[in-house]
Order: sequence, then structure tokens, then C-alpha cells
Amino acid sequence: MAPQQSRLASLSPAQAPLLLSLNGSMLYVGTALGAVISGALLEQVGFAHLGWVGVPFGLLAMLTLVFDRMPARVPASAPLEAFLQSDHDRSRPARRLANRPAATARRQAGRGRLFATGDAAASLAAALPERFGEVLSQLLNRLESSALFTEESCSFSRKDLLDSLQLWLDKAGCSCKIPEHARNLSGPRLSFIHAPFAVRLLIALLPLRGWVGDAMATQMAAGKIQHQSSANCRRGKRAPS
Amino acid sequence: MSISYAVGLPIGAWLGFEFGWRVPVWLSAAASLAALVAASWLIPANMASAGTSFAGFQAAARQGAVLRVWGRTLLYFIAIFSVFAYVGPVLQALNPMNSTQLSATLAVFGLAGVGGTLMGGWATDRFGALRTLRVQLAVLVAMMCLLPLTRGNVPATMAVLVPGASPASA
Repeated sequence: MAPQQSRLASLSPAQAPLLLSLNGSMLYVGTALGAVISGALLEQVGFAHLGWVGVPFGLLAMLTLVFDRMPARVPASAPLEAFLQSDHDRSRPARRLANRPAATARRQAGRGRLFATGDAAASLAAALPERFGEVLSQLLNRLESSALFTEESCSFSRKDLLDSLQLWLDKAGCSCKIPEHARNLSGPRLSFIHAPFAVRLLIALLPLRGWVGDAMATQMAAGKIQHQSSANCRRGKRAPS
Repeated sequence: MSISYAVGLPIGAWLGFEFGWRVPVWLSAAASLAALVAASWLIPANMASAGTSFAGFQAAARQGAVLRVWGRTLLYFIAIFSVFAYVGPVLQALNPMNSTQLSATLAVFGLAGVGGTLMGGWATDRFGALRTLRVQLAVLVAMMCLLPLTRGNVPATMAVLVPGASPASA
């Protein structure tokens, strides 16, 4: 699922939470439909050849890939990097306003506030060349997406994004620094003493979750197969070994 | 989620085999209840969340690329679970085995799924989402074509199932 999730997040970073949730719904609908479809065909196909039921669906899924243009191996952030590496002139209005975000940044603490810094800077966008505004909103969107992932990923590396943001600030002629503690913040965290205990408990409970349907189906099938093979024996055929 | 398949699936299958399917059902109910109690006790009531907004959702959801991702997830999981929902009986039909063997096979299957999930994430970062998906789907389809042909040959079944399980994971 990782490639699908990553694709959704990059297609629309701002709407990623909703799009990912609906992707999860598709997963569960597919899980149910898969069981229903092969269950309906079970009589005709039999357990041994059940693998073939899914093949047309797999092929259809492959077909949808044809319509997604093969990206030349450029990461989604390439235009952004091109901008950041380019030698944009520091505009005079930006210099004039440079002290304002710097002052804001000093007051900042925590990740939420970091976005507030971004918003404050966005209000300066009018004073900056148009490209600056585009890049900033792109950066902030990606930063927001990166908050969805608990670990660093190459497509949404928080460190790189913060570095890019710093570069943006430098280019805009600001003298402010992203506070060090903002870099150390990881994603949403359950900040309570029992966190390790809760994790251990959930892991301990995991095996018990079992897989009910499978246990049921296994037993039903075991009965059925025995029944079939004994029927085959009666008919004088060799039972499947 | 894929770890729960690696651990829960074989244990559930084994319990079902040994004590009847009602035992794992009751244990699941008890585990869910315990998790509910633990969650209500441990998770602070005032946990802040960024929340999300529907503004701009329509435009985002109407993109062909987004619809294709959703459709692909749907088809992908129909394909996987048309076999995986009945993996126990399917394994039994291919190679009759006892409860311990079946549990061991399911555990290997689940571990391959965990490995596949990790590998999928790595490959997405390294090669991009679309390339990774292309390979995953090709492996899945190939393995599903081959699986019925391995009847009566345990090593062949395992050789097909283990790589087949790698893309078949949530």
C-alpha cells in the first residue's frame, strides 16, 4: 500500500488525509468483495484453482497504471529544488520586511507555530516575486504531508523540507532561523507516561486478534475435503494426494 | 496490520483447528474488549488533532489520477482476497497438511507480507510509486496464475506463495 499512499499524498498534499482515508475504505471494500466473488465461484472453481479468480482483477489493476504517465525519474520536488538552487534576486521589499518574520520566528515554539510562521511569511508574498509565494505554499503543503508519516521518508523528508524552508527564507532575504527544537519534533505523539506500556499491551493482544474467518473457513474446508476424498475413494478413484 | 496477519492468522488457524472455530472468535472478542478498555483508560481525552477540511476536496477527488489510485486499491484487494480470504482451505486443497504445518505456513506467509510491506516502502522511495506498483502487481498476477499449478508439491507451493505474499499485504 505504501506506493499507493505515497501517490495520493503527492497528488494532493492538502487533501491527503481525506484521500488516504477513502483509500483505506477501498481496501476494506475490496477485501470484502474479493471474498464474496471467489466465494460465489467456489462451487465451479474449487479451492485448488481459486488463485485464478483474482487474476483478471490483478490485470485490470495493472491496466489502470497505463493511464498514469510514467514519470521521468524526477522526484515531485524537482521544480522546487530548481527554484531553490536558482539565483533569484533578493528583492528590496523583502529586505525591508525581513525583520518581521525574524521577530515572529523568535516567538515560535512547536510545530503548529512553525506553520504559523509560514502563514506570516505568506502575508509577505505580495511583496515578493510571485514565484516565492508558489514555492512557499508548495513547501508548506509538503511539510504538512510529511506530518502524516511517523518516520522519515525520502519523498517527504521533514529534515530536507525544513532545510528547503530555511533556504527559502534566506533567499527571501530574511535573517531568521528555523528554531532547532522544531527539527526535533516528530509526528503526533501520545504524550503520556503509559505510552510504552500501551504499546506493549497492544502488541501482546495482537496474536489474540487471530483471524476468525480463516479459522472458520479452514475447519469447514477440512471437513469438506475429507468428505470429498472419501467419496472419491468410494468411486474407486485415487484420492488427491 | 501486516504483523497481525503474521502472528494472529497462524494462531487463529491453529486454535480453530484444535478447539473449533468458536474459540478464536471468543478470544478475538475478549481481545477487542481489552483493547477498548486499555484505549479508553490510556489515551487522554483532550488529545489534539489537526483535523481536516473538505475545502478543495471535490477538486482533489475529481482528478483522474486520484480515482485511478482508489480503483486500483479496490481491484488490488479484490484480487488478493479472492485467494487470501480462503487461504487455509486453499492450502489444504493444494497440499493436505495438519494444523501445525498449516499454522507454520501461514506464519511464513505473514512474515513475507511484513517483508513485502517494508520492501514496498523502500522501493517507493527509491524507484517511485508507479514503478513499484507495476512490479508488485506483476508479481501478484504471476503468482496467482502459478499457484493452482503447484498442487501436490509443497516446495513449489511455498516457492510461489512466499514471493506472492510480499505484494499481498496492507
